[in-house]
Amino acid sequence: MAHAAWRYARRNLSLVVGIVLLGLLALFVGIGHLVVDTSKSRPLSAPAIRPPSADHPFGTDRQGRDLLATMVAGTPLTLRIGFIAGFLGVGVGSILGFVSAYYRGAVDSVIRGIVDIGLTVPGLLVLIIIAVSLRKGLTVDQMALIVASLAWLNPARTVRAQVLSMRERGYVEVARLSGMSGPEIIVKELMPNLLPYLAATLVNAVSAAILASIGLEVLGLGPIDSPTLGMTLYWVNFNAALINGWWWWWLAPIVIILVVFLGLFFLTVGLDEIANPRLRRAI
Amino acid sequence: MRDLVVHYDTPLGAVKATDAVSFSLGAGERLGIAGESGSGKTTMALAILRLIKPPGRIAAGEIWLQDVDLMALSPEAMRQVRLARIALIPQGSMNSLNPVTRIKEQILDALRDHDVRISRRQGQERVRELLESVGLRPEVADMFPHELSGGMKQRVCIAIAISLRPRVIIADEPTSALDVVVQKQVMETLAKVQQDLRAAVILIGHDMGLMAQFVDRLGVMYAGKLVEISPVRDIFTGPLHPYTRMLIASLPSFEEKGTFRGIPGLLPLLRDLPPGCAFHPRCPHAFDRCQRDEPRPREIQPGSWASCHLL
Amino acid sequence: MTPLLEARRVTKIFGGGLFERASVLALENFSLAVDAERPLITAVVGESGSGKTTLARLLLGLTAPTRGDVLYQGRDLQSMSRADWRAFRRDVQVIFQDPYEVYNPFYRVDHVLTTPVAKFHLAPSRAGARALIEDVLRAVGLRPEETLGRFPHQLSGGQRQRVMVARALLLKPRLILADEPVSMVDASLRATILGSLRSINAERGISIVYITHDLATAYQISDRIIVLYRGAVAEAGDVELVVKQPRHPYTQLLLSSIPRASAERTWLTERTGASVGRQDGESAGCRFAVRCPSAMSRCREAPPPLFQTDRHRVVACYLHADAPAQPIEAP
Repeated sequence: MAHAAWRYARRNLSLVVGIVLLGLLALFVGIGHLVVDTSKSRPLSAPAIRPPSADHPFGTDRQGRDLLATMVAGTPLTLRIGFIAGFLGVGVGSILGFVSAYYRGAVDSVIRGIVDIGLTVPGLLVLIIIAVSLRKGLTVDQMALIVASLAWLNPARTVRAQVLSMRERGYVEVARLSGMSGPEIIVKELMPNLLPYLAATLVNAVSAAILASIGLEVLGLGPIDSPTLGMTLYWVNFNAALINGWWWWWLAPIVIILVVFLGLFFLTVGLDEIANPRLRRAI
Repeated sequence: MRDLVVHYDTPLGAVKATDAVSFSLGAGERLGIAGESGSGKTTMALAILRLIKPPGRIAAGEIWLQDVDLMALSPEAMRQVRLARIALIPQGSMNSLNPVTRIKEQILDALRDHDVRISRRQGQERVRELLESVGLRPEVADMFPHELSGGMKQRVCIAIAISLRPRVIIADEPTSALDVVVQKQVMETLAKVQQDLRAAVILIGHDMGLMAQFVDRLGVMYAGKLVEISPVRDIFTGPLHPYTRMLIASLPSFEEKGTFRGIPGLLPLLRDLPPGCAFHPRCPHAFDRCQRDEPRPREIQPGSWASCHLL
Repeated sequence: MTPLLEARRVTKIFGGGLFERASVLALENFSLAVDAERPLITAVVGESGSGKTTLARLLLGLTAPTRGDVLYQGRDLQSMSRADWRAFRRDVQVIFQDPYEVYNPFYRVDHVLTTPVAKFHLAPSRAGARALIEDVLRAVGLRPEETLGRFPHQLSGGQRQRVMVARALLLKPRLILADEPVSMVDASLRATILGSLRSINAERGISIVYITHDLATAYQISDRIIVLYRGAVAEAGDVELVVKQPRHPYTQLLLSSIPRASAERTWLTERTGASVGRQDGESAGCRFAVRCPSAMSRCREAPPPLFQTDRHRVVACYLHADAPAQPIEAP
């Protein structure tokens, strides 16, 4: 069993790299919560603008936040936005994609119309408009819902395409002749074969959601009081940290964002390899 | 071909796709290689042209074309041999024609690949000649593959195969996707071009009826081994190997109605071959030696070889 | 006696709608009756473009005829109730051509057997279901211990197809429609599957409609045969008559084009006289006239009716116009 896993790991290096990167991040957050006092991520917890030292390994920012505490507290918040928005988006999107492709007809036309129009509208613009109009004190979860409102469009389209090709398969015909109903066929016959593909789509969606949320936050449209990675970058921008030479302030969040995206990217590539039917071992 | 062994390297070890296959082909002769799926016949055809790609590799054996050992040639020299000396009509080739290129371009492509320098006019003339030799109207040259029927496409593939006047034509399942009336026409075409070129033909397939009616000698493959090879008439009047015998008996005929004599058991997996003779689990005449020793090919009658302990 | 399943002068035309250029006449004026009492094996033989796949879909109710009706026990498929459909889906079973596509790779092969048992409540308990499944597997010559619990890719094409036959038997149907059941199966395994079909018919009284392009297997297994050419019936009747004494030029062409597995070599040298032309567009008369060596002028004017030349055979050919004409096929 372990031998087979090792052999597979050698073939699918991306998957391993992705898991390792995300694992390191999880360790960072996990151990960080045990070791570091996260209340120090609030303003005025420490002297302002201190470069990294023994007391403050990541340094402090202009409002007196200990940056290590900020990173430890903020990373899970950013990830949470991504996961909630990603899961919601893929969940709603796939259901609509399945229904649209399996039943065709008027339902398909309506859903497809909405998706096609929705995908051509620049997403960030829409999100900005929504965020601006809801300006009163956004929480992290509200952020997630805002991003989710657009995150379902792409999964709906891609799942629909996959199901369209699958519904003509012989085994769907056999299932129908064996007395299965439409929803049963979707759940029992089609979905299991789509699981690897859905997993890859999910990781994609999470990635996109995190990016969207960071984008909004950097513009100042995020939850102002939360120490999310995006908000930290907002403050970096607001205080011209780059010009002022406070390198420790922008370095930490950027490195972490890099690890997040690289990890998710390699994970996507690794999952794609599993999902791609050409590589699946048949016969 | 002498003792050809082709391996496929899998994570579980090397799988012998063909094992010690030997035969000889005379000029202008028609040889058939019959076998079911997994028998190794297509692998053997690809090996002759050294087209085996990793994870497959030719592990042993020699292939002599007249007095040249093909295994010893450089890749460039081998490329020259392909099409010019030995042509292959691969399985499913009629579906592999380029859908966006006209027929004449595809024929000329083959010629150009072999550094045949001809003017445009000569090229057009050559294309017309080739199409005529396979019984197609000259207008076909300007058509696209989707405008042609299955039989016509296959004849285009034959035309491409003979464009450089090879000495050997290998046809791998040339008619398996075609209707029976069209099949006859395509095979008639193949017979005609063979006579025109005085070339030898190796016909690979699973249709024993087609073999019976077309080839001069027939080799039967099972689980990567050539279990019998004889003049075709002898195979159908007196098959030597039990597999050949049972295979012929299982074919539906227009004489006897209502008897169904399938071969019991299953085709063996190449990675999990039975010990001794690969056919012994399904053979009604198997005895204890069959489980231990692999039978070697022996000349049972002049010109007829078979690998079986019963003989 | 109402036939179990009947196609009455069915015509199916594809396309020809508002945005499409040309319509395709897949099947024309086709009639077939499956007797409710006598379980026969009927072969429908045709090459590609003959309309045999369309026929299969029409008989199963997967598509509706453009003209004519398909009737199940006298009831039109297009206007049946849900209860009728359920009964239909039990009485009429299918075996498809491709033994690979019909299995969901995610599940073990048990899935195709347990699903109908569950959906149609064929057994009162898990144990009962198991017993029923093992029973039908043995009926097709498979050993349950070697078959159940495996994934599709672990079985050979022949085994997979036999599992499909077993699945068809579960519902105790009265008719099995087999669409090219052995064309994708290796030669040595075909005879066993065909033998099972024959014994199912003989022992369980199940009618079979066997659709194929292979005249040899059709001859082996069927009692009566219908030869289709480009959507129309060329010849039909008792299989011994049609195959041993073919009257329609197309049937004769088909038979002479089949290479026989024997020591006699007449195949390539025999000339049949029929040409292999491609016929585009519609023509008014007999669809085979373009290729027929015996074509007369009347052949191009109107399609020939079915002339009953023998007690159990009809031919759609003006060469036999002296025989009485039949509007509906009656073997």
